[in-house]
Amino acid sequence: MVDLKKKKFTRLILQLSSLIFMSLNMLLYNNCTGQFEVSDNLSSIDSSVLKSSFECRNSADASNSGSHFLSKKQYMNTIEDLFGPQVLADASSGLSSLSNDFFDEELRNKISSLDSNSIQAYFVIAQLISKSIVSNTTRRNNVFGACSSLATISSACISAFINNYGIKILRRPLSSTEISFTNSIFSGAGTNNEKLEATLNYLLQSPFFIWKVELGNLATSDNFNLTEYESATKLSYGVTDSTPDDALLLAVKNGLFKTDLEIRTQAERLILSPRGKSKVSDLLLHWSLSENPQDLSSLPASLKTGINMSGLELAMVSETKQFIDHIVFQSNGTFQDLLKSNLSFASHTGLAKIYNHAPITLGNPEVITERRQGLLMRAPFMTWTGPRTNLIKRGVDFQKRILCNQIPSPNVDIADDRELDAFTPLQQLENTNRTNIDHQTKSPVCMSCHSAINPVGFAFEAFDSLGRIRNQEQVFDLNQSFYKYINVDSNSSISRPRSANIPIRDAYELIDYVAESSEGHECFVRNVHRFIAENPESSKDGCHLNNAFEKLANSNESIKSVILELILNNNLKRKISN
Amino acid sequence: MKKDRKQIENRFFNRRQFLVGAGQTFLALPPLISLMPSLLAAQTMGGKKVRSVIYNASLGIDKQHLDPDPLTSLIQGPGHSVYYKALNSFSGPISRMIDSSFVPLYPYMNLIKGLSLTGGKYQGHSSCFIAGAHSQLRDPTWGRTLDVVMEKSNTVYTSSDLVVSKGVRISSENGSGSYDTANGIRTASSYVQGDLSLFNLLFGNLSTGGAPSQTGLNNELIVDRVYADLKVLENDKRLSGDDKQLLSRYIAGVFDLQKKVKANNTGGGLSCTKPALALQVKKQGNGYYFPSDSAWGITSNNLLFDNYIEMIKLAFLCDLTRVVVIKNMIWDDQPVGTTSSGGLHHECPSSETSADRHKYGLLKMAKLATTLMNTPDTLNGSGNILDNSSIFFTNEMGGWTTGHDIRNMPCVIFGKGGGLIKTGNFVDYTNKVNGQYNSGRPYKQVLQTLMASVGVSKAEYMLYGDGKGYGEFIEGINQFGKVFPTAYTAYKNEHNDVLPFIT
Repeated sequence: MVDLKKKKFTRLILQLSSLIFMSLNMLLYNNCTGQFEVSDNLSSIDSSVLKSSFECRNSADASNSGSHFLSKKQYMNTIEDLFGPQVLADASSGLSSLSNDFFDEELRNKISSLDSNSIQAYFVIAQLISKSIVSNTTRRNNVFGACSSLATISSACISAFINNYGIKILRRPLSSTEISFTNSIFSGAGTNNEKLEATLNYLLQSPFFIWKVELGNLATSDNFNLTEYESATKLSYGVTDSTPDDALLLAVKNGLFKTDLEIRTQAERLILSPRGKSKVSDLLLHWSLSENPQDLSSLPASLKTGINMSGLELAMVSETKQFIDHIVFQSNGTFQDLLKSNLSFASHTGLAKIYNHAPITLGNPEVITERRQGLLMRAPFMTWTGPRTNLIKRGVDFQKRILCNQIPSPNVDIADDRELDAFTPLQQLENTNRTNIDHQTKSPVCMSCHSAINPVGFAFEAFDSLGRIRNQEQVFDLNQSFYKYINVDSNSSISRPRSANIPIRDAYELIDYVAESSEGHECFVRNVHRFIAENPESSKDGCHLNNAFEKLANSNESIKSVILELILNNNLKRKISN
Repeated sequence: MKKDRKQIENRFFNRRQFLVGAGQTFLALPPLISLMPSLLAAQTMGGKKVRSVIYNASLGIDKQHLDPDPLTSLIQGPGHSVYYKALNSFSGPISRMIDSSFVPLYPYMNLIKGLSLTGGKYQGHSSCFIAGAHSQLRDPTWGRTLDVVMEKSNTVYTSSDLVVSKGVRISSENGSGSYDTANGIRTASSYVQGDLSLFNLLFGNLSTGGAPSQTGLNNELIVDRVYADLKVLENDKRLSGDDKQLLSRYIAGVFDLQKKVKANNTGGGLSCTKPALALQVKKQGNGYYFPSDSAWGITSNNLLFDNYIEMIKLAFLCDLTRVVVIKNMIWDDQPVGTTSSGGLHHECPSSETSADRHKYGLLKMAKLATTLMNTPDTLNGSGNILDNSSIFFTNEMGGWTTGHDIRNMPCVIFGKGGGLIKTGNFVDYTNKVNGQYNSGRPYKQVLQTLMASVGVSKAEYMLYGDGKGYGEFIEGINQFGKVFPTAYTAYKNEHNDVLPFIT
């Protein structure tokens, strides 16, 4: 936990420095062409109580208006949880045709591919799944019951399937039309196996399987109450990225999913399940830009000297996951813990060397003694494929994801201008990466965004492309041969348009800022909301976003508690019709 | 001219509306087609299946390489803003890109000058030009590209049409440039790369003969049931606007699946069987490094295009699709090497190499046009396929004295578009009377013409754009230091119409 005295002192220092740099900053942003869009919250560190820009107008508000298709991950989890890993493996050829969906940071919306190709892929996958189940006696009996192996499949057998697996697949009892169609398949032509396959095919292609469609029941003119099955589905995918489990469906069936307490009990149970933990891990990996470390195989040999590179990228992600698990679940940690803990779980010799400690044994964490802290200073985010760090990428990604500032992609003309201003390749050998980028982006049009991008990148220049702390940059010539060392400079400032710049010594102090500022807390809340709700935040989300912010920033509640706050809100039970 | 245009505006009603409007006494007397305006004729002839191919590329064409030079002996058309010259009255090559090999196509071809994206201030690579807008940085808000409008239109494809793929997009790049927009969010259309992928998309599910299996019949029942379930959902008032947008895409996808499943079982009533083609590509999927990545197995881009052309012809003949987009950045026959894919940037002004590269694509479209012209249109029962098709060659940038211009976009049209498009001319829409800045007409009017040719009504295409009609319309120019607030004011009341003179 954070020492409150230290917290107040840090804020005091930051407040003083803000006054000094105010005038300089105002000058700088006079040149901005308006392409750099800042987050709504600029109050930052100006008071002892952190404040968000979320506006709570009506605590009864619900913003939920759109239902989503299962993401590819949710779809795969659902298949595995319903039918087992072998069935998922048997459907792999069809699954490869489904594209990944993602949350677009600039549009702030979920982008999923729903077109003829994906519909055809669902069709193919349904066939692969049903064939895998029906062709295997154990799996068939599990899904359809042992009665499905008899020469004549009785109506009781069909009825039992409908009331058991039918409900699991559609996440609600089947409608009379669906039951009637299922019965018609069994009374039609074909062998038993063909009928069983067709039945599964139908349910797996149903819009109510692929789509988490929410209809609800009319409450007021444009407000609908979700059914309990719909709420349970929303809760389950929100917490675990998978279909409601048997316990949840049973609770709904038995009328034990009505009160806030009953719903919270289910949520707290689910978040501690393997799927729940996995989703939290995915969320925090995504937020911390740690999902996909770069391929390090092309780095010059001398940069990798003494580092065990075998499986290093995977070890980086694995260690980050262990760290998340420790902070969120083992120690019920807070946002401060997540950003400022100095524990490492690196057992891989290469990664341990990068983190400058001995490989851990027996799962006991090591303490990092250098200027590295928390989730945002781990190796995956720092990695780059070339010997010169990708300073701009670090800056853009951090500004967007961690500070929630919008940085548009440069159009090609601006990119061309940037190339024109670059030093020649030979000149670049004589300078630090920082100097080269500084020179290359010096034009006013570039600076409209790079005045915010570069300082973040500069702060991280104390880390090389392996994510290892350095005092000197190793410069390599055009043949990838070592050329010279140059001292790195990670002194920088945090750019805040229309407000004071904040001087920082390095990325360590940048992370301090994120951990102490309203901006950092608020952006974290936004990210969690987007990841779970699969929607951008709207004005009607103001109340529960602010509640989550208060828990995170001022009540010092655990990360787990804040995530649950962002799930257990009005949107879980209601929707509006737009 | 004003009167002509007024007639065009009033043509957008269906046969029944026309007959009712014409008076009950005419109900039993269908009007003589030859006496009707071309667009009305095209619509009223009923059942005619008109196709559209849209070819778009990047990196600009220097107009001096496409336009006739010198521009002499133009005839003033009806109305002060149109000048033209019959293509067959040019002696020798018309331009560097349109050489004498195009002569047989002249009766089926228009070369158009003076169509501009009305963009106010911005210049640059436009990613939304086939949606009738220029604003790259604002593109998510711009409606639908014309192919998507065609694809989704219930007048272009009716529920009884057994079309396997309503819109087919072939790309040599990462993306086709086609998209739909809902609530400010852009949805990119899927595309294929390579002839194997195109073959499987168009012909993969065609019957190979024999009786359908029980599984096949069950599949047909199931997909029909799913479609019915979705249609019930479509009318559910509890569904939000956001969900209805999603549902419309869902229904369209299941509709396509229905056709494929039916085709797989019985041929679906289609007159086609799988053609035998020597496919060039060994790999399926999408990859940015197409075709230069050796994994694709391409040895000749010419052979690749030949297969594309043959498949498009067969697909049109069998009515497997009516809308094709080709986004192309292949410049020559060599699949590997720096000159093949990607090309140079900023090569527009006065680049001979650029002209040859774009000519490669134009020649491929000319070859497609020639193939369609030489193929009787058995589907429609008369004429050749090019009579009932259009092939539109365009580019993301226009050009005058500099690159990155959004004025005077390159436009070549092959085909008569089902009778709507009058061909055989070089047409210059540059506004010579206005004189202050020769920007000509809004480019979106040619897109509207193409949409109208396949049966999209004005009322329908007007739904997709900036609220004032299809695409984007801005009256003024503020570009290259030149400010003309009234550059397009003359077209304020007609920018949502089809192009005059060629229709």
